[in-house]
Amino acid sequence: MVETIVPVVHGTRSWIVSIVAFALGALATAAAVGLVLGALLPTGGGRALLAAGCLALAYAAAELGLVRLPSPQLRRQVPQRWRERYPQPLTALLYGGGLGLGFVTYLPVATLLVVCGGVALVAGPLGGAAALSGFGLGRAVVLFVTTRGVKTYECATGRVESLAGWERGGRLRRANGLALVVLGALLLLAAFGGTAQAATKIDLGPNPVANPSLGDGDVIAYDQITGGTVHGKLLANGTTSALPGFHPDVDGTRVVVDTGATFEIIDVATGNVVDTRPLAGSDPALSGNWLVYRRVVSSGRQIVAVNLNTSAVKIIAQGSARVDLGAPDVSWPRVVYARTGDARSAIWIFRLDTGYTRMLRYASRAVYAHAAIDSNLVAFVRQVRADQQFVRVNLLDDSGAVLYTQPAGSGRHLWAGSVHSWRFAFTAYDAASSAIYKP
Amino acid sequence: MWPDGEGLARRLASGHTRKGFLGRLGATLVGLAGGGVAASALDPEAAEAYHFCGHIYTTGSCPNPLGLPRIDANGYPLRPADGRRIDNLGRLIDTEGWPITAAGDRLLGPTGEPVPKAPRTRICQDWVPEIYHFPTQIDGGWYRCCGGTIRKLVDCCAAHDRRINGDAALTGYCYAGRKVFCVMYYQTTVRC
Repeated sequence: MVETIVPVVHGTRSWIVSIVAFALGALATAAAVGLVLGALLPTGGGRALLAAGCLALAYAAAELGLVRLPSPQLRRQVPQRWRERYPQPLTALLYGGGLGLGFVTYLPVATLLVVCGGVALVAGPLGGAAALSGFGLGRAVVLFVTTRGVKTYECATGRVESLAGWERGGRLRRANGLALVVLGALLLLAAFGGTAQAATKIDLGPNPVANPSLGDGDVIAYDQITGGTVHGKLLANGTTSALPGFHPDVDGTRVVVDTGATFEIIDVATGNVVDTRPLAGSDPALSGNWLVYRRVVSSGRQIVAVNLNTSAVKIIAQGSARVDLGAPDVSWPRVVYARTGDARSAIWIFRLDTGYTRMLRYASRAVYAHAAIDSNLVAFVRQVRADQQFVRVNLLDDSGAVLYTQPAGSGRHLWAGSVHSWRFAFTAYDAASSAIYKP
Repeated sequence: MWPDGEGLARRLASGHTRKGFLGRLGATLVGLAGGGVAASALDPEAAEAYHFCGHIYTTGSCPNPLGLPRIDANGYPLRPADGRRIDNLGRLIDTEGWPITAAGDRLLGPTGEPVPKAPRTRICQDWVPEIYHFPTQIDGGWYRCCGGTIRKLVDCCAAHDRRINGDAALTGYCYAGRKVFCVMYYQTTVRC
């Protein structure tokens, strides 16, 4: 195949066209493989990184000759008849496409297998496509380097044989084994770093605090617990001021609080109340003209959205008294909330513009709670038997990451968090205190 | 001579028969015989344990929140130590499913609101299919004396050749060709 694309066959112009065509083919199929692999499993956190790291180290040991592990591949070659049947650029495109698939041709080392396993375990579809694109690009770069400036068939053959010589004596496998050791070590470091990472406590005074809501700059609204009573506070431009209610939620230059009888919207700069809504409910959240909150009615629990311009009311979700509907958050046009029934716990997203609802994450042996949203980023607390995690999910590619893990048995628990412009904050509390942290 | 059914109840509680049919029949008879009769009829010594009390064979526990697969009459998880209801995270819960303290008060977060609920699903019928991706059902059961009351040991069965241990599943204890995948137990209040 290399000898087909070398410039000595069809000249430099055709060589460049063929290299580009080959690269496009390899990138396209490799990215497609990555897309599929990334979609196979949910995007993993620390445990997925741990599994990927172990996979890399296992195959590193195999590459170094310490153990024997399977290396699935078809060991086929790209069909020679293509170059006889099609024009050279098309042949190069097809060759690139075939080689970009990876496992259908001969693989001298196990790196691709490790990368594919890692993509399936750790990455989402787009991340997987990006990672495997590197493999496709690598195949094109190798072709470019080995065919560049070749003047004769002998030279082309010599380069191919020279490349093949790298494999003699196991040098290539040893080098690859060491590379996989480094990769595995990095993945394990990331895995353990992900579970043991420290979060930075935000200094909001000596009293217990909870329920952060981040705004632009240093703006943060939160609840302060003093003497068993909850008071809303607002920190802006280095100054802390009291809010006329609790459970605050910041939206640009405004913040909404629950006063008990009403929801009040306050201007962050002046502290003046700009709107009062006599609505029975709790945990208000604000975005543009929409106010969302949760309430208990005779038939059960509801999450409600109110258009502040028209006062139109929309019931976003409802359930029986046994259903736990978590505090909602809104970032136009999406409302996010947690819903836990007897059989399942889930994070749901409702679109105010289309009325469309979808389930972002669900589990029956875990709890999803305290959902927050900003634009395309969702953050929530996920609790399993082993530990509690503060997690973010990017709605653009469905990729997720564990931002903080609170191990079981520590006596500390995670509570409500916030996300704003890729900044995150969450509450961690124990029997004696409660504080707000940024991961 | 034992009263009608009492001898069978005694054999079920002290013997080794654990065919699903006999287990079901035994459960009925033990219930009919009543606590007093069973108390006089059953072996008063606790059964020896290989795995957990009453289970001397090697099939592993069904996956569960707290390590030991104690269930209620409907297959939902209970706390092994005292039989109080727990959710899928292993937390004590009230009858509505809200997490509670040991004293029975609602578990509260830092601002005084209840801690979020967790799902509560059946160990054999829900947990196992979700984790292992094949259908299961409760077929067999047998009885032992544990902690002074009769314990029903319950087989979670599947049409699957391997058991939860990873090796060959035991045959002959479930219906319709199913085999024992994992085991659970239900502690009755019938004294023994």
